[in-house]
Amino acid sequence: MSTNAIKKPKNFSSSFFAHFKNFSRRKQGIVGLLIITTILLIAIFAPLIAPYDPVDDVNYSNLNGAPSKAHLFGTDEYGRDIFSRVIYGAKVSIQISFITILLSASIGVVMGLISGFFGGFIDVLIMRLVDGLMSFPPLLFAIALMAAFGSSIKNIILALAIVYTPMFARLIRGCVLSIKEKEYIDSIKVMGGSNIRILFKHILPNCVSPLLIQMTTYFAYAILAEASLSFLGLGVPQPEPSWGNILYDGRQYMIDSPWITIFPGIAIGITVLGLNLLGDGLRDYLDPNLD
Amino acid sequence: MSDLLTVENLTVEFKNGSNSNKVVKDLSFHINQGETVGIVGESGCGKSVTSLAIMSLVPSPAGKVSSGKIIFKDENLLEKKQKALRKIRGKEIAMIFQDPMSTLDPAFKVGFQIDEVLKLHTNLSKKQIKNKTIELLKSVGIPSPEQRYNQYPYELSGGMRQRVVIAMALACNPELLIADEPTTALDVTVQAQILDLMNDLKVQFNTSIMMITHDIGVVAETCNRVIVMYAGQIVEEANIRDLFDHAAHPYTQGLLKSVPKINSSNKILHSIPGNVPTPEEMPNGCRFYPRCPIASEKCRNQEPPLEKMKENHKVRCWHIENVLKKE
Repeated sequence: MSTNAIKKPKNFSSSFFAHFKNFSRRKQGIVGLLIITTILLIAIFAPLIAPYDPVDDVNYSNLNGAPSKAHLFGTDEYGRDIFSRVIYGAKVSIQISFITILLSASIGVVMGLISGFFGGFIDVLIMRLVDGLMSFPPLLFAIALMAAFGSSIKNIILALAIVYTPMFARLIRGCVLSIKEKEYIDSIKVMGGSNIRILFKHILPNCVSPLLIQMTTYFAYAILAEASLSFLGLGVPQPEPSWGNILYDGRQYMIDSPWITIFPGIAIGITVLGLNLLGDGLRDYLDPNLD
Repeated sequence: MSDLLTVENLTVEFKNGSNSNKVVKDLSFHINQGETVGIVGESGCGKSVTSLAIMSLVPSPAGKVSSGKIIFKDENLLEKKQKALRKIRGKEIAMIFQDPMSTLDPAFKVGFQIDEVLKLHTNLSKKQIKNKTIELLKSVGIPSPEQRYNQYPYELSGGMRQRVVIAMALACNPELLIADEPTTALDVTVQAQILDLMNDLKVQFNTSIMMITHDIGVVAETCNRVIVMYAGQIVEEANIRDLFDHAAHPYTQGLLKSVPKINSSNKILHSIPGNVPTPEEMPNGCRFYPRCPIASEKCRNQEPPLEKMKENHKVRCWHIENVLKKE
């Protein structure tokens, strides 16, 4: 009887639901999450949502047409539906930025882990390389790389990844340096854990919070950088739509047909805002010391 | 009883710019099977460095074991490869650190962390490991261990965490447990519980314990034999009775006098004047000379040897006779 009378406390600590509930208390984070989820869904289901084909549905009788019932966001210089192009553009832009961030984060993390953990000569080598790469202004560096590689989606990803990898390497190195001095790392050494085990099973998981935050923030940068490159004609090749591309197309008609540039601009703005809100929310949630 | 661990002439140096300082100098001692040996001394006297040396974890490249032997079960640990050492660490020699708040990885559940030790050193299946972990948690006196298994370190109190750390250290029934100030960070009541627990477990598993502490009370409570260290050297080594009743070295006497007594009317606590000399300014003769109440000219110039006073009682002092006469 007595044992039954004591209610077993529910163990919420480890469930995903509890984390989500905790996170959702921070309004800006949840707004960011909603925006980003919506945009991701739009990007994934672009072919189902877009009323027209973004490339082939050319209509010479409605060039630079103002927004109307048939074309919500108007049409561009070839009579293509801007709404469809912006939706497909979401797919292209987000794909590029996402792969860029994954690529640069994974390479950067490995570099940072090795550099921070082993120190010595290898640290000097990696960190001087990182310094070298970071001494170029990021966008200018990306432009130079694109000029060298030639414009294609694969090359944008490569160029942006080269630009962003050092930032991740440096972040993770700093993180490793602080965590490797912690007592619990000593205690794992004393328990007979190998270096590799310590590095990947104990140091890396403790670096996840700053990594996640940096990834969201740089996701936003990557979207902006992709748009900038495409706007400069160095990014996604025509006629494939990306947000930067559509801006590039519309820049000559900005006075007469501003809708060509306004809508992709808003799309970029909302996405970057969403990512930043999400990043801030994550930071507040994962790192309560940072206030 | 036979020697489980023998340390012979251990010297550990730390580089400081172009100088290298002997933080531990010519240290020799031994620990028998099933015995608890206390290592006592002020902060900075080389206690922790000694324990790290036994674990072969002296932080390099700054620190280096420059000479000596550490013989554990007839094998010199200093000649072993890292890979072989990893098999010994955690399995045959385990260690408990001072601050339970920071010795558990905050990113993992406590159950997972004990599992990890078992995973490293045994071939048990996942289920067996979990059962063993829960059993261990129970044996260190953690209530409702199944539930604790799934909790993160931040959800436990300091005493509970230290119990988890002890469970982790005892997971593979080590033959030697190095406890580096295991109770310093805990409340007095919890301290007593943890010490009781360690005594019980020692009997149960026949583990030898090297108890590093600066708390004479802890020593009285747990140890069979005591080694008093000062500035990287042993100054006195004795059985627990002898140490408390016939402390011979002025430093040990000072330490004993500094313990507050419940029935004393003295308002001011005794203290030994001065500080442990830093490794850079180590005196030439006796290392305790500048703070010693009975120091003489001889002490200033010549380093005293560690001399046997009687069976199981060694002292490093030129004035043993005087000290004893004073009693």
